[in-house]
Formats: sequence, structure tokens, C-alpha cells
Amino acid sequence: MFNTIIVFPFTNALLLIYTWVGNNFTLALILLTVGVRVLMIPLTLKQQKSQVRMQELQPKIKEIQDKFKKQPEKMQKELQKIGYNPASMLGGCLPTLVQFPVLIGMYQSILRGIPATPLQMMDLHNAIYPDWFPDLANLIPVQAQLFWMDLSQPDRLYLDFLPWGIPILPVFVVLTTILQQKMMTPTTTGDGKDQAAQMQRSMMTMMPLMFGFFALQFASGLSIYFITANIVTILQFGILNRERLEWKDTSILGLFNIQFPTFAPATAAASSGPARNAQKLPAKNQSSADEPKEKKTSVTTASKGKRRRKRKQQLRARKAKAGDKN
Amino acid sequence: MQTSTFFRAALLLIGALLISACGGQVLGTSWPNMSVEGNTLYIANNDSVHAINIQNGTSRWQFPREANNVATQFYAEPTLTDNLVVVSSFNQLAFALDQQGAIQWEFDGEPVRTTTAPSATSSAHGFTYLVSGETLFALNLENGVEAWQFNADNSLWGPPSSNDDLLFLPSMDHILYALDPATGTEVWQQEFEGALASIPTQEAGILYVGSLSNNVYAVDAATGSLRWKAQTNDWVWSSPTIQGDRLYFGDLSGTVYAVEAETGRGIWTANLDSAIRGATAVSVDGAVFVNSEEGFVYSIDADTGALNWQVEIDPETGERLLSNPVLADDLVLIAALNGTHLVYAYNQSTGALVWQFDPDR
Repeated sequence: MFNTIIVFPFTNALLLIYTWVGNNFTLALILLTVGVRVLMIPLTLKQQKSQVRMQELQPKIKEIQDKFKKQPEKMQKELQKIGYNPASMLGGCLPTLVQFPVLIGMYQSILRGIPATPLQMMDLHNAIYPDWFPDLANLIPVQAQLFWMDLSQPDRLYLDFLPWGIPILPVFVVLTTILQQKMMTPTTTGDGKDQAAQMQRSMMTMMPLMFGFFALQFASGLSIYFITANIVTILQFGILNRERLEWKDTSILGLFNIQFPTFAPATAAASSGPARNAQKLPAKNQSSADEPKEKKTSVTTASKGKRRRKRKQQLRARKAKAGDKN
Repeated sequence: MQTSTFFRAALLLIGALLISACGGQVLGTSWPNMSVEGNTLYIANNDSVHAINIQNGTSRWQFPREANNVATQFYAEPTLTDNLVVVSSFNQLAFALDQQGAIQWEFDGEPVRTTTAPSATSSAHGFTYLVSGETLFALNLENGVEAWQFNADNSLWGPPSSNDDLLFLPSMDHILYALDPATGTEVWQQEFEGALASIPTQEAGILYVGSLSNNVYAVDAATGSLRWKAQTNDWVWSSPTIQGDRLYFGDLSGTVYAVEAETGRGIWTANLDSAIRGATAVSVDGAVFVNSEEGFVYSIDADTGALNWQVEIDPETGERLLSNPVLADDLVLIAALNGTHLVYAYNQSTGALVWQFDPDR
């Protein structure tokens, strides 16, 4: 069933593009990946919107959670008032889940599309739509070489003076995954010790390494898919959110920094749709909130260093006030 | 560079190198392949080669004795010479074993394991010929020392066949090469419409070769000129079998063909349930045995194409039968891919199951 719905159509599409682009499997794979990502734009847009909305709501959520720590029911009501609904937020994960079968389907079709072994060739024969390929005999064998790489094997560049091969594509997979994450995920507004911030940090470290591990172990065609998909996502997110991007020093696994646009969530006034409504409601609570008004702007627009300085100033002012009263 | 950054970079580098060195190969996969000599069946499958007593289906020996990480991916048909069994793996290793399964010599085509590629062997002129990747190695049969090698433009999946004068090497780049067996020098080449994945059949100065272009070709062995071609419904992956003045072969559409060897003119066809990847085995009693991808074994009358009998190996597991059936005594031996058992022995006349072999029991 999975083969019929996902793997076979992908395999045939991949090979059809391969014949259109002069028997260049890498180019065919890149074009198919771009095509698949374009078809998935409605889903990814929904995911990105949900992600952006979540980021915009984070300061408010934190504020409400801190304030109503001992009143869970009240907390829920207040969270609902700002438009935060965990169930609907989970809906934002759905597009990610949908991408997994696509990823598996792509991998299967890459392996079938470049049959390196007899069994893979047999599977290709069973997958192919004969009507799409009147000149099937000339399609076989599929040319899967790209520079030093055999796309049906994990990428390794072997040099005479090294006992091991150098994994070039897996490095690019890690790099583009990090850049994609950095662009789409602004630093959390928490103090660095809260659960969300910790989770985000570990995700941002683990995900690129995990994809890098996949790239090391599986056919390098999969790495081409990962890299292309990451670049398409970066471009798509960059174009759609160009007004909210800021060029910043971006750390790559703590090894070095590069200048890269990262996402800065919109202010209340600039946000739209449910997120805008979400900003209105807590305004009523703002007078009763412990944090002064400046913090609200600081978390949304100012840089991290600026925020820290302001918070320190606020704390100092508060301590001084408390000292005066005593 | 700060110390912490240095350590982080070093840790990542070491981790990446370890993972690169330990893994990083998509293992070659194929189906089991068999050869028979006397009372022993040799079958190469996955991480081992088994010698099996044909009388009762019991194991004589297994190579390697214990599974290891180096000698793996044995799928190529074992090559039998007077006193050696030559087996090759998909990671460019070849081993010559004696009748007890002890190593006499071994050959490593690529000391640094960079890839995995289908391999196959054959033997003639005092050499064992090993194809792996795009290279044909001629190995001295006595000691496994490489005498020469020939590099094609694309993958080689089928081993060369030979006559007294030449070697005939099929290639996935659609070309049939004729080589000098002593030096590996190319004598002639003939290009066809499709990839050639199996060993050419050689008889009386004519080569018969199946192709992934829906054709079987007959070629003059001395010059490479085309004698005739017979069109089929689908890919012909296996080697045609010659018996008398007829040629028998199956294609991936599930059709079995009998044609005149001299002209390629069709005599009969039989349509079966699913793809016939393996070769046909023809008995002296006039029966053609084939196995189909979806798990059926057929006995067909060689004269008329009428069905003698058919059995389904195991309807429960849906085993794939992609290997060449092998005849020994009054048995037809069938190897199954990922089946409940590895080998099934059926009576040639009745189709009754005689024994089955499972390496794990």
C-alpha cells in the first residue's frame, strides 16, 4: 500500500525527470525535492505560522504560568483568552508528521531509482510504470555518479593519504540543518533554565547531528535530498518572513560563528490574525502583571544582550525600592 | 581557538570518523545462488556458503564457520573446478575452498572497503574470473594471484563465459566484450539495446545472451556479428538454456519461451503467474523447470509447453523465488529468498517435496 501510494509514484517521477534532464540523477533528485517541497507549501506554511504564533505567545504564556502557578483552572482560562490552545498548537506538528512518510518514500525511491544490486534492480522493475518509459532499455543502468560520489552509497571522499573516507555531504547536511533551525527558531525568552529553553537547546543540537548521522549511514542520494530540502525551506521562510529577519552572529555547534538571518517575532501591533487577538487580551492583565511594560517590548524586539541589561536594571530598581520601604 | 571550542571540535571530528569508519555501506542484496557437483549442493546466501548433502538435505559444512564482519554478502553462484569451490562476496573478496570448506587461497580486490558491488565468478583456461564493480579480475586458479584485469565502462554483473579462444564478458553498459583469456586484451565488442546481466550461453560457435531490452540475441562467437534476435514481452535476465536444437528462457512478464537455436523462431510459449528471473533447467526426460517470483515451481513439457505440474512453495510466507533452479539426480532444487527454508528439493516427476534445508536448524 505504502509502495503504491508513495514509493512507486516518487520513483517514477524521479526517473521521468532523470530522462528529461539528460540522465543526470542528481539534478533529477534536486528538482523532485523542490517539486515535493513546493507541493507541501500549504502544510509547511501552516506549520511555520503555528510556530511563529507559538513564539509570539511565549512571553505571555510564561507570564500567565508564573502568575497562576497555583490556580491551574484560572491559568487555563487565561491561556485560552490569549488564544493559546494546546490541542490546536499540536495541529502545527501535523505537517511535520506528514513529512516523515514523504521522507521515507523519497529514500525508498532513491534506492529504487539507482539500483546498485540485483535485488534493487528487481524492485525497480516492479515499481516502474512501463507506459511512462517507452525506451526503458536505455534508462538502465541509471547513472548515479556525481564527482567522487556514488549516490547509491553513503558519501565518502577517499584520499590516498587517509585510511578513512571524508564525509563531505553529511557535513553540509548538518550545516544546512543548523542554519534552517537558527533561522526559524529565535532564542527563547526564558531565563535559560526553564524547560522550554532547555528543550529547544537540546533539540537544536540533536536534530542536526541526527540528520548528519542518517547522512553518514545511508545512500548519499538522501543527503542530496536533505540539503536541497533545507535550502528550499530556508528560502521559503526567508521570503515569507523577510520583514522579521535580522542578520545575526549564528553559532555553528559552538565551533564558529557566521552572519545569518534569524527570525525575530513580530510585536503585538505588527502581528496578525489570532496572534494579534492574543496580544490584546493580556493587555487587560498588564496592569496587574508584576513585570513592567518595558519587558514586553524587550522580549519581542530587542536583542538578547539588551534584554539582559534591561532586566538587570529592573531588578536593581526593584531591590532599591524594596530597600527604601524597609 | 578557545580550549572548549577545540575540545568540542575534536570530539565531533573523532565521532564523525568513528561513525565513518564503522558504518557507511549500503549492503549489497541479492538472492541465493546454487551449484551442484556429485552429491553436494553448494549455496551462497547472505553471510555464508553452505555445502549440503543432496541425498537428505543435511549440512556438510558452512563457510565461514562463524559469521564475521569481513566475509559477508555471499550471493554469487559458487564456481566449481576439479578440486576447488570458488566463492565471491559483494565486497570484492574471493575465496577458494577445498571439498571440506577450508580456505586454499583468498583474494581481496579492494583492501579499503569503499563500496559494495555485485560479484560473480566463472572458471576457464586455468583462471578464476571475478567480476566486481566495473572490473574483471583474472586470478590464477592455483594460488589466487591476479594475472590481469579488464575495466569496463559500467558495472559488470555477469561473469564471463568462454570457449577455447575467447572470453565473453556481458556488461551493464549494453556491451558484450570478447577478450583474450591470456591477457585480457579486447578482441571485439558488440553493443546491444539493453543491459546484459547474465552469463552468455555458448554452444557450437554461437553465443546466446538475454538482455534487459526485451530481447534474446544470438551472436557469432568468433566475430561478434549478430545472427538473430528474438523479441520477448519483458526483460530477459537469466541465461538461455540450450537443449538439442532448442533454446529455453523466461522473462520478467512470466512467459517461458522455446525457440529454435538456429534461427530464433518461436516454437511455444507458456504464460505463468509472475516474473521468471531465474534460468530454465531442462532435464534429459524432456521437462523444463522454472520458478516464479511469487513462489511457484513449474514443470513444463519441453516439446509442447504444456504444464506437467506446479507447486506453491509456501502460500503463508509468500517467498520470492529469483534464483536459478538446479537439477540433481531425480530432484529439482529451489532456493528461496527470505523464506521459511533456504532450499526445497522436489521430485522431478511428481513435484512431491523430498526435503528442505534450513541453515538455522
